[in-house]
Amino acid sequence: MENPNCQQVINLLELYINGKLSPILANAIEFHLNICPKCRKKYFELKTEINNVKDKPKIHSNRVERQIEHYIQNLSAYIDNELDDKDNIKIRKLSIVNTQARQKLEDILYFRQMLQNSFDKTKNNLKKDYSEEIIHRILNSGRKRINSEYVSLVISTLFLIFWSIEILYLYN
Amino acid sequence: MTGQKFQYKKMKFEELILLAQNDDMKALEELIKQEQRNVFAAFSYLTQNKQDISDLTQEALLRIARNIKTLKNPKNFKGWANQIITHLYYDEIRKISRKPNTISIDSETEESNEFTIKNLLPDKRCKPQEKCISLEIEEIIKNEINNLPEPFKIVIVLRELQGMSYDEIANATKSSIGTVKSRISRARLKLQENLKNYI
Ligand SMILES: [Zn+2]
Repeated sequence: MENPNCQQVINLLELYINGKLSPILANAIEFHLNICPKCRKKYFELKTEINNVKDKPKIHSNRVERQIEHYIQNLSAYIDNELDDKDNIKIRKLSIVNTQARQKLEDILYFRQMLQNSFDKTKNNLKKDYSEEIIHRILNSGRKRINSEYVSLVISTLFLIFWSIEILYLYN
Repeated sequence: MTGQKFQYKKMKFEELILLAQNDDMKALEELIKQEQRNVFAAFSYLTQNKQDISDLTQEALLRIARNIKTLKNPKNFKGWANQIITHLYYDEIRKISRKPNTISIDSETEESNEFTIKNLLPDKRCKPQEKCISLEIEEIIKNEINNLPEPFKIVIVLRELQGMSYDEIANATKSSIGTVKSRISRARLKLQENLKNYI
């Protein structure tokens, strides 16, 4: 296809815009677009259309993706009331407008509730009562401490007495 | 005697603390009675061996009772008690890492993961607000938390089970609030993922 006609060019325009033609064919199309105003007009129309369809959702989905990522990172702190006002509002907003985000919020709240229930159940599994023993040990160790303080007082007093006797003896 | 006991039972927790701080042993006993379930439950999610849970619970309660006078503001009791729990837990990890011949955690896990789907099914019908969690689910949640890698386990227990603030957790674990925030978030995602077939 050395010199494509207008119809052929128009048929190949989409592939040309998407960069999917072989270099030789792409060159031929480019040459034709330079000399044919009718096809050039079609080319710009199609290009704008393709860009609108393609780029818009891409930018949009990128933005949403980033929002969701930020959301996931902060959701945990959000339910703990540990975010600053700015992030707090962002998370709350996205929970309202985005169904995926709202689902994540519902999931994490449900999950937290389950852990709480599990913990409450574990609390009630305690069969032993430690309180009496603890008090007993505290009272006992208190007595022991008093005893040991008393013993060390007696020892140091005796030591002091012996020491004074020794000093007296030496000086006499 | 019984009348007096009844009185202590009816007191606010903060009142018990204040009395206990002034050498009222009956108040201290009631305080321990009320706090022991919480301490026991916390250690149940931090360690798997039943004897260790009991020993750690007793030691923590003893430290709480013994040091109650050092608690400056009764309102901070929860954070203060959890600091004692956290320190004891860290000591325990250090002990275990020095003991090479402790029972492998993996073997215990495999055993306790052998729950049949039949046992779990009735709970799927439960609504989240109803506290109708089965013993099996409780065991599974306990195991999953127990099997979290270390920096994540303690933060999830302190946050989800003890309701401590990020600031208090940062204090108890000697890390920054940012670290605490990201650890809690990651621990939750991991737990959610591991538990998604059960809850
Ligand atoms: Zn043309």
